[in-house]
Amino acid sequence: MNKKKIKKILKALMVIYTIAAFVLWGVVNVDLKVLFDHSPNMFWIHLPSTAQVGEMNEMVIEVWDEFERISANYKGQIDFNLISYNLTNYQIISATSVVSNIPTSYIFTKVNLGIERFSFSISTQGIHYILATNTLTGKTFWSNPILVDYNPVKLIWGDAHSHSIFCDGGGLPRELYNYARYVACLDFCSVTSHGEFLHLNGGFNALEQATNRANVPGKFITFPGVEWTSGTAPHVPLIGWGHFVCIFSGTKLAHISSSIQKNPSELWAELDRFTSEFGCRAIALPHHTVSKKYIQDWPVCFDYSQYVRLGEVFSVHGSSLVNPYSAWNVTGEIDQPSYQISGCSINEALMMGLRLGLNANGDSHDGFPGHSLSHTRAFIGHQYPPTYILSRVSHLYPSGLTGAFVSAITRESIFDALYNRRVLANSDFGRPYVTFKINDVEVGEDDSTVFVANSTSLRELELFIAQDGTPPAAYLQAAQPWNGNPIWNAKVQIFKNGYLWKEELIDAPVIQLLFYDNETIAGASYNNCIEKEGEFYINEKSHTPVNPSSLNTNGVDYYFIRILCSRGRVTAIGPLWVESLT
Amino acid sequence: MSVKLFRENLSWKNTRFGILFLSISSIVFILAFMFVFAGLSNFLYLLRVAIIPVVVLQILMIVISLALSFSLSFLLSEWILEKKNPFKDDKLSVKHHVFFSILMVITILDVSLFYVNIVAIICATVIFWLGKTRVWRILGFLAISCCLVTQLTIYLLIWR
Repeated sequence: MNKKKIKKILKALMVIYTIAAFVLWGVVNVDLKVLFDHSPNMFWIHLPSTAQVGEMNEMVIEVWDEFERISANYKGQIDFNLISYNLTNYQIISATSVVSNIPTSYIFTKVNLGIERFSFSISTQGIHYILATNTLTGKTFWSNPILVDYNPVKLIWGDAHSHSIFCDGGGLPRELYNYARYVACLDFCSVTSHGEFLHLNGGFNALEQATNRANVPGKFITFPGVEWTSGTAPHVPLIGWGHFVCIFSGTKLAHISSSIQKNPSELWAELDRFTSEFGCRAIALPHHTVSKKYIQDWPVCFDYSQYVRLGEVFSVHGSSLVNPYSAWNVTGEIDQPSYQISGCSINEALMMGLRLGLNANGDSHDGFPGHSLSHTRAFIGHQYPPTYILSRVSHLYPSGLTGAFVSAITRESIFDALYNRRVLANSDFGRPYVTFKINDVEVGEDDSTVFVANSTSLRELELFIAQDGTPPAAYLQAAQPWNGNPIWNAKVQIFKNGYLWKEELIDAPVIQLLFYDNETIAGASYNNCIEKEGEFYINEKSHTPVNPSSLNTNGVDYYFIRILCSRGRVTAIGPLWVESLT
Repeated sequence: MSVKLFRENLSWKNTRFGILFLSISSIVFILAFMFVFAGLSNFLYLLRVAIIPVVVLQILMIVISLALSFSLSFLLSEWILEKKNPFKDDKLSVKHHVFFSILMVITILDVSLFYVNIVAIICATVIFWLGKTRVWRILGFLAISCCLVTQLTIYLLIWR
């Protein structure tokens, strides 16, 4: 072979080699269906969860494609309808007896870009659902429930944990807040970038400014927030105590990062200093506590109940409510350990005596707080907003939402609800209306504690559920329209002292359940400590020695509720603690 | 003398060059800084130290971005204003070597990023095809190999 020929072959190989790199990149990073297919698949109908009788409110209709993105392609007529349920017997109220002012029909054109807002009011007390029928396909879509009554307490929804391009997420904070307010229809939100990145790129002030600019009292509330990421952030020591999202009630954002506060003691000391200097409050939120890489070291929280008020039970990582190896695990968590590690779930933390309310957030890294898309094929890299770290690839669950019972849409009132645990958690964008009471004390009332005369006093557990009619999303499953009416079959589970106590199947959208308990109040304790070098730890991953005899609820019982709806939607509310006065 | 030098340097040609140079270099700096920050953040998952050299890392990011922006801007400004193809001659100047070195650094830093690692592949391709010397050709080959291996690893281990 002559030199020229060899040169030609070499050049051809160089071309093939270069093209191979680009082709392989394309295989990994481009999904043509996601890129080109925006055809409409379903309607998402959003109503506020509560309204006063006769009050004007806003309904939002979004047309979604099969990846839960807004489809701007929809053209067609929608007919509206109202289905109402009585608040005393939970039966359907006949349409003629309901006084309402809702639109009758609307013609969507391409001008709507797949989203439209309507004013409406309902003057009859009850739980109501607005139905929208696509006249072309005949398919009918249900909204979330709206409770109409004279009670001034509002149930509002938000996501207090999301990541922007300031760290390993996507989108600028102002874009995230816009999405949260106008597309995900949230009432509150916090963009909580990892402090370790903010420490490196000097992003604390920019995040604080974007957060304060997006805050509109009465409409949409934002909280300055940041995530302390021990063990698994870039350039921090490997020792991990878990991750804490810290949100603040004021306008200032603390400079928190595990490269500044190197251990939990320094974190608590900084929260003490910051809250006292700026006169604000802080909540530190443990999350994805059962994931192999982030196993939560609960003992570091024991003396800091003024900060550790809530546990994030659902997010794009899955559920941390119960141990993934317990008999009650239904949801799972990404990257769960290959063997059982006791004492990492929120349920086990409650058994140890921690008082955590159950909330859910997104922890979204794809730039979509309140309604993450990373559980669908739209996680793919070419989807706006861009992210530069692979985080969203492994987020296989939909983002969760926190419902908060508030008196007003202000920072103070919402923070107060979060602080006092007047919250419920939902595993996707759904907004069910759920309340849980024991002896008339609601979750979040009186520090969520019910006092009874003696240890065998009768406790009446009252649960009110109005399920969400929108199709759910779940693990690797985008929302798909119902075949006909929503499936209302659900399993209601009551957990007492860390164990499943009662279970009941329901098949109605609106229902009230009553349970009675007069078993002796005995409390719960955590008994799975291990011994390492003469000291006791809650598990082999823990770095904090404990006294095993102190890991209990001090004789106080606790109850929380989990509702397993069809197609993977899960709602949780509680706990309520029951304490005997004698 | 100084006035004369000033007048000579302030020619229309030099002014045009200066404006173009600064415009390109500032755009390139911002983009390069983003990619260097992204790559370095990702890379720093490997570096676990008790004392965090945050300032050193910030200086490193600025130096790498400045080196890329100045060298690339110089080559592009010459190409645009003087119609001088920067890669036509077989001989590479210092600015070429600086340019290729930084491209190599960016390739290594950015290769495992999500989606924007196309930048790493482009950098590797530039080194592979425009590095005239044997050393740069070999480094270019290694850079593209690195991209291929990383993409394959991501596909086989992490992708869903």
